[in-house]
Amino acid sequence: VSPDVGPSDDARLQWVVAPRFALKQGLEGRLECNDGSVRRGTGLFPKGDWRPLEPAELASVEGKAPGRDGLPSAMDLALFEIPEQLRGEWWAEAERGGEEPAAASSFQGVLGKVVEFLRFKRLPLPERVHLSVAVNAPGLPSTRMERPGVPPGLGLEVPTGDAAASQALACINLGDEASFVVVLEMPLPALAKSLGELPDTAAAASMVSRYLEAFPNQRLLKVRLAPCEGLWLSPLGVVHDGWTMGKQDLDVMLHVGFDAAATLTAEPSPTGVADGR
Amino acid sequence: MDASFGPLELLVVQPTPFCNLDCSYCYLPNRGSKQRMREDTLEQTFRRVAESDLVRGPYTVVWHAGEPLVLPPAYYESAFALAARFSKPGVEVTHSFQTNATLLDEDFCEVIQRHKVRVGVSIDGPAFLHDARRKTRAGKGTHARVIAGMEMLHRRRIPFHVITVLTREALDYPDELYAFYLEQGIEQVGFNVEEIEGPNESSSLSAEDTAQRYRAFMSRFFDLAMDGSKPLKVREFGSMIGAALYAGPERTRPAQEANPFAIVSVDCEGNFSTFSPELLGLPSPTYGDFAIGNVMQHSFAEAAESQRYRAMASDVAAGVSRCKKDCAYFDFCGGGAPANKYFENGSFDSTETLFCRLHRQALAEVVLSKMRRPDAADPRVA
Repeated sequence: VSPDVGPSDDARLQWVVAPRFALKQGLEGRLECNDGSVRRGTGLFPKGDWRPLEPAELASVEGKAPGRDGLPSAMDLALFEIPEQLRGEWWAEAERGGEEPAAASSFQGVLGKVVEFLRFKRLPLPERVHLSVAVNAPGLPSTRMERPGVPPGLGLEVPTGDAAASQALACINLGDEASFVVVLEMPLPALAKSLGELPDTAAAASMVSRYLEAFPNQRLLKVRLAPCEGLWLSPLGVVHDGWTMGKQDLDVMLHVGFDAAATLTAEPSPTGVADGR
Repeated sequence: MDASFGPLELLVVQPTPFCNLDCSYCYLPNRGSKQRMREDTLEQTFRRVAESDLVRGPYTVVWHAGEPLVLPPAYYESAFALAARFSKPGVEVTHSFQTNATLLDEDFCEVIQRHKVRVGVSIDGPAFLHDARRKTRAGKGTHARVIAGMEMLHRRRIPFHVITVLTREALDYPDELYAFYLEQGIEQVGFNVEEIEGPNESSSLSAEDTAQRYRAFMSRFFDLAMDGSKPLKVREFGSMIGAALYAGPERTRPAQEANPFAIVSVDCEGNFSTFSPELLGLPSPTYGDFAIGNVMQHSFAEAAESQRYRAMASDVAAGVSRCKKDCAYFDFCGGGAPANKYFENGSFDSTETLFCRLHRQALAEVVLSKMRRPDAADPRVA
């Protein structure tokens, strides 16, 4: 396989607005692409040569929106938005943080409301999800730190907490300034296929590294998320990372993760996640 | 007229059928007509009300067209003066505009403030919901113009409530609606459901899963309105809580729309009817028409003797009796809306409608599930 070949159309994730959400801004002006990734130390990181997508490129990445009563498909990267009120509640707790013994449960209460909201909107969340908030300084080309067994940089996992048990499913910008997420437009099974392997969530980190080393010029896309906006990542597994270069303010991102090994091997799930409906 | 009629609670006056908008769910058949009610017709309307025995307490004159503000402010100055001339001493009469707010200007604000007119603005929430249904005749959205009207009301410190029509799509957006009301400084909201009436022969809410979605919407909106960062008064919750506290076999109030002459509706030609205001002006194979008289020729008492009124009243009463016998929610409702029964079921002498299933039954279930005895522990506190 030529290192310059991108994913075939049927292997490429498509960008949509999640059903039952109405965003102020569509895809236009939101996406940039680069010329791939580069190894630094133990991790692989996005190159910094970002440019806006041309109109034709934008049209090619835009997917067919799920119907009003539908769900994001397994091949969709879906944009959504939480109410400003919920973001405000998180900040109200953050400003009180540490002053009260009940702070942890208050945070859980707010984050629980976010999950309740996403479930009301019928985003196909598994029964159990992991929630974590990552705060990063401006000026970073990656927000995923190195942890035992997980290299820094581009990866499938949430950037905090128990990485082994938590594949990223969504992220939501809780900050006051736009935030950026970098993604590879292929889900884990397509990536495995390109390597001539079977998808293996247990060995996903190594598979991601081998793929990016094999295809260093595979373009990445960087999406801009305004405050309150979120990105639904396919439960099949999406290689991604944060990007805070050019920001002035702290980057505050809520990450929603799930136990992919347990969920994806389960019987057909009523949530629709297991079969990616 | 004996005490079985009225008392009059709402006098719905249609000074013109014309509306400057063309909303997709509107039930008014002749909203393109620029006819307006003549002064002598208006005078005779108030005279008929004054001469009747229906006024036994305060009542509201609802100027509901078409769009009432397509007529100039001077029209209402004269109309309010006429109403005052015929009002009974000691009886409070409140005027009310239900408006799309696109034609509000400083002169109208003067009239509204001078006469303490209650204002209801029709807006369906954020632009993506509102503009999907509430359009100009050229098919353009009207949201920005309604917002401008509401901003004018705020600037002039004129209190108002809003009415939002819930379509199937809107049921997916309780948080967005709540945030919108808060952003716009709206403190009181009424939800109407998209109904099957007259020319609006189908409703987006007719789908099988609508009751479930309606319940989910109302449940979530209840929590937001009661526990959110700023409380919001919601007409439906208030009235259902009142009904739940008041309900009982001997205490159920008859539904206002099913109560003869509690509502009197008069169109721009002086034709009048009672029961649901939506009936007036719509054709009926059963009764020929729903108008039971004309203020220029008939008193309300004479109309109540007419064959048409008797047939309508008999059917409405029979429908209420059926509701009382068959419906577990009767104590929360009092017999439903005759217009919905007629246009959905083909007869006043019938029971359940889409309106009942959603705005009465599902709403009662939601509100009752949220209420608890005053001495009960808060289930949200561990």
